[in-house]
Amino acid sequence: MSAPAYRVIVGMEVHLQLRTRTKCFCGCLAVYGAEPNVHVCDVCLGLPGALPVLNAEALRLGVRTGLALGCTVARRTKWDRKNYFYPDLPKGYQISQYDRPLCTDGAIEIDGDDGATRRVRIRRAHLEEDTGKSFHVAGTKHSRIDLNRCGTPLLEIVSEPDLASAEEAGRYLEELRRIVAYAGTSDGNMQEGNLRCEPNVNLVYENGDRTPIVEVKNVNSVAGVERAIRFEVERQDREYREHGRTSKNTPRSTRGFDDTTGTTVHQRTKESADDYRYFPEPDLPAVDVDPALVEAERASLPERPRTRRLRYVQALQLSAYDAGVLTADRRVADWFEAALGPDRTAKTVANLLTGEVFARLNAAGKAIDAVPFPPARLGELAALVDGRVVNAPTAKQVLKLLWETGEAPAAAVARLGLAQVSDPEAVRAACEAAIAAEPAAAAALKAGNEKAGGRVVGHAMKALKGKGDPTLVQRTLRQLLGLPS
Amino acid sequence: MHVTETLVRHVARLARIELSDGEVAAMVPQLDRILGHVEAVANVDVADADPASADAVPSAALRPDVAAPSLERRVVLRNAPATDQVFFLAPKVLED
Ligand SMILES: [Zn+2]
Repeated sequence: MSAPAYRVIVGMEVHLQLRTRTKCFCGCLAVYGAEPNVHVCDVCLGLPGALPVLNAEALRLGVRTGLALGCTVARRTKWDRKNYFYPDLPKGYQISQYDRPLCTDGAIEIDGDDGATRRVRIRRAHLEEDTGKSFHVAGTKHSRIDLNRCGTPLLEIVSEPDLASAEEAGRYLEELRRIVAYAGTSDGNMQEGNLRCEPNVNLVYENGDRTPIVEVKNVNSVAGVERAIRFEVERQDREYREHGRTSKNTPRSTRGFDDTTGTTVHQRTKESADDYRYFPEPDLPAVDVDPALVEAERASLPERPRTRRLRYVQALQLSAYDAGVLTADRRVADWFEAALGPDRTAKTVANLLTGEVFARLNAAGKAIDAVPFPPARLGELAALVDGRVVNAPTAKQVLKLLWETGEAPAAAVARLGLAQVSDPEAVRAACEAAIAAEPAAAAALKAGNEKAGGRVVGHAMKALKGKGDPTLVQRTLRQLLGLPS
Repeated sequence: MHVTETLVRHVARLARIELSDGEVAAMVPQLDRILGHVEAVANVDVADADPASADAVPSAALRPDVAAPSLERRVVLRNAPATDQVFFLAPKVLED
């Protein structure tokens, strides 16, 4: 089969729940997982006479997120009503922003499929209120409605169609999630619905034909986004080849993703553009965004996670994998950097952190803030490893003491006599004894069987009570056997 | 703006209002007259006016993020046509 003669075009709409204490336009708590319909008031219900009042924190977090996405923040922003009927929208309209969004013209960077950096433009990011939730009750003709989520502040982030594959869409979503987590503006948890996304997918063929754009709903995970897009690409290509469906003869449509089957199902056709009859919200004044607020948020933004990851590779010489692991969570990256110092390499600190420390945290189901000692202590241990004062097995033993008793690494090494044996005479004696004790393995090593050498090294290390300098032991053994070192 | 039967039917559908053919026919001249009056506003020169400027508030004067009491669930559900004392009950939505 020849290579497909089309390009995949994906744009993303993301709804992000901002981390406020209360809702966007009333003082009800914005919390997940409460008893149904207990965080609801007259504003939430849209009762006659109830007036919305904007939450300052929702605006601040919207500004901060926009800046983290490289957007320009509007000097003045306004509110509009988006009118539609749905049981989880008691007012019959959603307060949103139409022609004066809070943030515009941003961009974030991801790894493209070709390995190059891909810049994904953000068209706009605007504030709006969330709807309630409806649950269909199987076997009945009705749905249950919980309005706790009604009025929770959302930032709708709309990208340009700059993504060229399912994988790029997945990476975009992960990067977006890391950026907002770093900025501290949202939990970004897809399972809890903090971050919801709707990819827009179509194909462009070499002859200029385009398939009709499909908006996919009900996607609840990064893996789900990728599967939904892969499915759409195949389906749209088939529809084009078998039925000649293009944007010229087929309307845009909305399809729902079914996570159990990995397929999308037709929901509705957009015969005409969605008609929400937007008009200015008469109950809310426009807002003049204080430039001092914008500058304060800009000044306090952390380094972007991707920039940090690339810096770890380039400036700290870490592997791409280690850099990715360390920067996935900002707290981990901060902890790691606090452990760095001039007398230790980043690589050794990273190895100790992602190895022993992570193993202990994972076993306990704990996060980085549960490490019972300050980062500088791990740095001291890394310095002992790099200075070849202790070898790897001893470092593990010292870390255990540090974790369980808080004893400083250098003190533990001194108290227990754990410093590795780097005395050439002692190492030489141990190696000679090892060769004498393991003549067959020594001969095999001499003949080039590196694997057999392990027995000899093991014997020598045992003679040195496990504290031998491994590099020196190796070198001495090879010398004694007349091998090049 | 010229009101047509098609427009009236479209707006009625958006508003989920059922109109008979007679009602649609009656609505056309009525809405046309109303919009005619409103159109007078369109003749006002607003070239220099920012529609969002009339009452803009500074962001420093917004509501602090402090919780206020919500309603009791009993009260929240009181006016609903159907509930199970915990949830509102609504007819299942059918996609068109
Ligand atoms: Zn409320």
